[in-house]
Amino acid sequence: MLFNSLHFLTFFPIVLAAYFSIPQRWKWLLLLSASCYFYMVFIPKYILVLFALILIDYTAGIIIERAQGRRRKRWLAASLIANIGLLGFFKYFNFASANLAAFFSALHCGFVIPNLDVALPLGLSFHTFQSMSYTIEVYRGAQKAERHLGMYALYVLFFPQLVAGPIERPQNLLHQFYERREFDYQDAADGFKRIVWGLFKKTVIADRLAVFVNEVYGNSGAYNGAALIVATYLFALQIYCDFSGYTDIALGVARTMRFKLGENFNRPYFSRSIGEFWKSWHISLTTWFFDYVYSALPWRWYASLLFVFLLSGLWHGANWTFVLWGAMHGFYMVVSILTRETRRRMVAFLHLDRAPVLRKTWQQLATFHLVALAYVPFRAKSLSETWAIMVKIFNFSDWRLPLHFKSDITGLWIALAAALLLGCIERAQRDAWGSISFPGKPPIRWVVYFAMVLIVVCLGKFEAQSFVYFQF
Amino acid sequence: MMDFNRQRLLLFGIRGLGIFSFIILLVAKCPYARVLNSLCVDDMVYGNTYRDAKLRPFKVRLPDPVGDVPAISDPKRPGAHRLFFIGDCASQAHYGMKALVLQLSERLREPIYYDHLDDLLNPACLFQEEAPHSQAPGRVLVVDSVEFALVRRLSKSRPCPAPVSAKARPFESWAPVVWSNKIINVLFLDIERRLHFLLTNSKLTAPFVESWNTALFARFCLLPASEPMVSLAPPFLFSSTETSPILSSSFYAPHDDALVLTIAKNLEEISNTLRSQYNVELIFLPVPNKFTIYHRFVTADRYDNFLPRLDEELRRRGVRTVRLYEPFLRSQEFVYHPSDSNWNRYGASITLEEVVRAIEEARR
Repeated sequence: MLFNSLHFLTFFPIVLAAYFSIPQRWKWLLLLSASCYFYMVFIPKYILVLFALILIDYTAGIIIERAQGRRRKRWLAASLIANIGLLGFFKYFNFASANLAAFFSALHCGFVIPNLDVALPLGLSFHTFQSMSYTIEVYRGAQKAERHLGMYALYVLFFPQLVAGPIERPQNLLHQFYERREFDYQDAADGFKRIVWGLFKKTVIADRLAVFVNEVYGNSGAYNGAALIVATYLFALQIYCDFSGYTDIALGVARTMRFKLGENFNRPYFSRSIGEFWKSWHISLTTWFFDYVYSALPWRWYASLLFVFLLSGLWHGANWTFVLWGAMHGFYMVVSILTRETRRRMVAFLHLDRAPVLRKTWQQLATFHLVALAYVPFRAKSLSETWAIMVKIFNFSDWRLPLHFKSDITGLWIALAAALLLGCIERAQRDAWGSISFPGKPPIRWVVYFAMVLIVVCLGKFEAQSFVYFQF
Repeated sequence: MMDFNRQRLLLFGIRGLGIFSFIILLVAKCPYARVLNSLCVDDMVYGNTYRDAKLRPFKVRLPDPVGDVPAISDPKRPGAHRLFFIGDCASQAHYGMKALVLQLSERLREPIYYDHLDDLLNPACLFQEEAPHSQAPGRVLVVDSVEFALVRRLSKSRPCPAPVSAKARPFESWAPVVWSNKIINVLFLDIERRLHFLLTNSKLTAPFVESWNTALFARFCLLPASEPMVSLAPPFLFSSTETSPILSSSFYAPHDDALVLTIAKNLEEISNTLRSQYNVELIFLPVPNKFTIYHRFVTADRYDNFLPRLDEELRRRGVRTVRLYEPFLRSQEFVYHPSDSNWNRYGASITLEEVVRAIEEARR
């Protein structure tokens, strides 16, 4: 079920009303049933994959806690292999077989593995990572193994963050299911505000920009460099509004039920370096990789860093374009760390430290452009298309913007105006949306809130368009 | 005290909304509830663009269908007929006219075996139960397909499924599977579409949706996603299936020569199988999209001549076709309804003439 669908608009009030109307002891069961329903609306039979994952990690958690010495490690390895195996089977089997076939074909061997005709279970990468974080934390002794199968299942299946995160640690989420939760006006109001804010990002900005971006990237051969540059900038905006919009709705939905999920974004496009960008973009995934992979690698820092970013690229999708995207970010990171001292000296030489605003703006612009450039392989369908787009972008001969787009130009202007509003609000904002209020007296605040709802209802694109990160 | 009251008020609102949403979900999902409440008709057939768009300037009163859709003949015994029709445009009863297949039957004064064209169906499979070479001459099969579905239906070769022995019991027919599929269908599937349909067509909400959509169109030129292109003079609504740049079914989808060759090759294969094994002459009837004929009212973009190119290739390969593109284009009267993607009485009459001529030629 999509957050921006009519179905969710009917599902959520039913769950919320029921949640605050039933006794505490049944609340977990209601949330679990609602989460199963939420997931089964996509492809019902894939709930079985999730149940298998839950059973494996639930059992592994208990055994790891009881076991001693090497057995603990063996059970952890077994659990991780099961998780990664499941992910690999559904997500990477066809990718691996296609690459093996190409490799053997280059060697003139007729070795072909048939492709699997299975769809990727929605959000599989997210819930396998969440499950793995549970067994790792139990292994590390930071979390007690959960004995209540229903509660553990709810930890994996909790519907607000089921299909696209944030990837929660058990220490943050599991205990919340046991806590007594009565209705609270402030949490409900904050939750609803955040849901509206997320819908604004998704339906008014992301989905309207998607029309233009899909058109240009869908026929990249037909458009010149100028159109592709504009489409790449717009894709940067689209993916941020799409994913952070999803996260806002997820956090808002959880907040109305008085659950607190971790923040996933912190104004990433205002970052002054690639390192800062990764501390504010998809925070739950970045910290997952650094806590569980980077810290466990025995290599030198730059090799580990590159490896983690390649892995992060592969996590996003079974395509070399994502690997290239990860490699670009890994390269940016390594170069930025290696050149830190040189850049500091250059700033001193140019006396840029006397103009902090100029320096900050330059850093933000440079970071944004590096990130936007890496979106070319992220959005392109193949490496050859990536190359063709890059050639067009850096071929400075044709700068005329084709003005006869087939897409909805009014929609594009609406999205750009809304994105400007978003930029201003984010710039002024010091904290997450949910925990702040507009300054001013209640009537003014309410006018602003209602205006926001009206903008979403009037100018939003409600076509139940899927979120970009659902495919991962 | 103030906070306490606000808290109670909001909780009361949430509970009320929950109950209301539950009723809506039940009504949307349960056909009996819809009928009992007579909220809306259960008409989700493709075509009626006003029904989806709800834009007042495009509201046109369409005449009611004349005559019922004929019952499908016994699907197990097509062999008793001489004329067969498989398609999606011809078998439906449209506004103010009989289904084309009924008109054709009356005109030729012979019964017609007809069936709906399934996306996965190879028309030659219709005859696979028959003994080869045992049939009378003059048998003709007309296959019609709307242009936007051509690529989906015919760009891949479709082998006929192996006949299932009486003893073999396919997995899908096991009772637990049948029942779990039924439950899944009732609980999970198709809800979004039904809710949208209910919202745009129920007597309670349709007037509001119409006012809202019309205001958005008037103020911001915003169009509903289902009909992203319109022409104001004449007032035509065009469906996204035919116009969206990102859909493979649309006017803007690339139809390169390789695709045309693939479709023509698959049709030639079907035609040869029908001719050599079952003594049936195939007549292929591709029906142009409404946007293919009237895109000039909306855009300066040029048609890539997909249908004429396909027609040329099919004729070159000896497959009989009915060419509607040029007669529709030449027609002085509109051949499609303004607020529907299906042909009107005039379009159907042109098609009828062309089909009759093609059948007579095939039987000669």
